[in-house]
Amino acid sequence: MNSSLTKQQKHYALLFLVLLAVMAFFCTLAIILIQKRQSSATVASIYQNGSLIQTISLSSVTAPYQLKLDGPNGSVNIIEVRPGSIGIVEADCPDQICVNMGIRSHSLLPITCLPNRLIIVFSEATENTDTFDLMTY
Amino acid sequence: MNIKKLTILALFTALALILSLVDSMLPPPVPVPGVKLGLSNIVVLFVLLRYEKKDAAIVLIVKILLASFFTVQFSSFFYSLAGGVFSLLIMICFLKIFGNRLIPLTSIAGAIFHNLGQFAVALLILRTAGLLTYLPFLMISGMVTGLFIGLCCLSIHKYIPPLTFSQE
Repeated sequence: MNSSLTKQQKHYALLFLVLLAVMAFFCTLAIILIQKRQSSATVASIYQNGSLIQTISLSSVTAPYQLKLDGPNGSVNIIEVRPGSIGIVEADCPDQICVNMGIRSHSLLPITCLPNRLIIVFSEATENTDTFDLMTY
Repeated sequence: MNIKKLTILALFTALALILSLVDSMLPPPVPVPGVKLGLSNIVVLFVLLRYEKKDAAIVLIVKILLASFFTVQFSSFFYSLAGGVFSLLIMICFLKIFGNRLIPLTSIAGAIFHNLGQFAVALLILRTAGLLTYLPFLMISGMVTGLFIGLCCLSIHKYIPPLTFSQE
């Protein structure tokens, strides 16, 4: 297949492949770091439509309870808060990705329900979550 | 647009629609929003290879519109639209450079840009920096699914006889 390529096309293809390889390397590295780094986060912030609607200090929760959140266009998510952990247990979206993410206690990956524009972000207890607008890893 | 062209494009649109419904029924391999096989991109890429850019754009837009009607998820419309347009544009660029010789590479670029477009819309809507941790997952999944879709399209391109718009 490559024999019919001109020299310039080969250059471009090679460039693209190198770019892909570099990207794959860094992404794999990032994924490993994300999976590995378990921050001692105890605060969960619930955002809906881009605005913070609730901050829960997970370590001060004593008994599990459920929160019902009504989203845009009549969507419903049920969030379960347990001592030290939080998760979405019910959602009316078709893909159920947020429910499949399970109940989490601390994670760099936020729990997200894209169709209902809901996102739960974990952060350190000492951090001021209101000014939290950029994250580096 | 003559009747034959209309019929062929409608056929491809229906095919893309079915594939995108099948796609949404497959369980997601990792719990990261936006990770999908993107089966309907086989059709879009195929139309792009065989016919003109305009035809591929028509198939893409109509498919996205109908898919968001069928699943009654209007928010998914913007994600798909941004992703689809991004991926179509980059695939047009790649086809211009490589012709139809490196279909898998074109498809990988398309898949990665599809995910980037979706990701940009998600960032705009949710405005949460924590979403950035999803980006490496989306990039890797774009490479894997893009390669798969590209190989599918390559073999389809090989075996399907040319269907022309010209009227006999």
